[in-house]
Amino acid sequence: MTIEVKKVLDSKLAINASAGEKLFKCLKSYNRAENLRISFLGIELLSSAFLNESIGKVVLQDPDIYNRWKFIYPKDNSIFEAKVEDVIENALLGEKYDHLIDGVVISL
Amino acid sequence: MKNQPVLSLEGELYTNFSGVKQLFQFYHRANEFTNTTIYIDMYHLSWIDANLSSLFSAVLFKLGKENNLQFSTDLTFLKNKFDVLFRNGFFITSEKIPDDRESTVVLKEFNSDQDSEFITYIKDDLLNHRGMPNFSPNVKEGIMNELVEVYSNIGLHAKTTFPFFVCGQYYPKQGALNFSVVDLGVGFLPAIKEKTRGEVDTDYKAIVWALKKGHTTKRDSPGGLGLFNLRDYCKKNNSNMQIITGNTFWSSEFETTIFDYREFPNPFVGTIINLLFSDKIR
Repeated sequence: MTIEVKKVLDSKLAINASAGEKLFKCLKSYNRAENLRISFLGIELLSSAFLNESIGKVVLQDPDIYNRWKFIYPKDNSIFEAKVEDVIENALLGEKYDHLIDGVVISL
Repeated sequence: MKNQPVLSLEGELYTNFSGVKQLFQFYHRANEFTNTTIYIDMYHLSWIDANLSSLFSAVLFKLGKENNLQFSTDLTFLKNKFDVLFRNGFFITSEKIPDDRESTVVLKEFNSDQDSEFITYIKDDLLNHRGMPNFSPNVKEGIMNELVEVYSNIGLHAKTTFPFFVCGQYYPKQGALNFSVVDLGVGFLPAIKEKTRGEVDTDYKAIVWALKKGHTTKRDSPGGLGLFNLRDYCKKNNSNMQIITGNTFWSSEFETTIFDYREFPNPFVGTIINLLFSDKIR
């Protein structure tokens, strides 16, 4: 099953958090055991805020789910893949990262 | 001008701690008045970085909305001395003054739900500006992506219905392009203080916290990569970034100095992000 982000948003811009919520709801509507292809073809711009509210939020709730996802990126845009990977890594670190940061904050 | 309050701006306003501080001080002096017209005396101002028009506009906007203030000044004098402030749209007169030097990135205000308008502005007015010929397509793409991060952060964190203000200026002799983004929101500290249960209790600590990869004040989703990436991008591309929030001025340039940050005696509201691009980028 392929989810085309551009169709979900009806826009080439995947920037703000409210757009992220749209994709989040779409992702949640699928069975978690289903293999999904998430396509960013046709998307011009992508923000961390959008990704955090969509893909990141799903992964935070269900860390194993991303193993069943495959992402499709526009060929001329390498930044998208880096952002998606960063957001997923950040989501997976989750509570463990919070504890690490608490330790850093105390040392400030 | 009888009985009309007069406030002056003097000296030099560069995109640095002192320049920002002067505009903050202007705000506080003006904030003592309501329901009147203030005359702005700029006769003894010798320089203003035109990108600071975004901060100046934000200050005047807030004073107009909250204090019902209007402002007047000597436009004839300023057309001769600082025509850049007309070319970039800060001063608007019936006779439109073209940006014949093509060095300005016009002053605009946006709301956080104006995605396509903001993107179009960045593409047409900033990145495709004839004053930026030395930036490669890859670098322009990087700048666009990072400014999208700044824009989406405002929508997510500023907590205000007021617009945000943007303006840029190209300085060909220095090979520099300054771009300033100013919001009138709550600043970094309140949400970060709550998120860290009071551990982060100063504006400087809030900036440091916000710049760390992965940090976010959002409760049910991950976050916090926008500012980290922006700072990383600036580092790798011979550019600098300033963050002003609460009473604190932080600059990536401080990393090679004895300063961690500087403090304003009279802070403003919201957050300012100044990006100081160098066209030595390749």
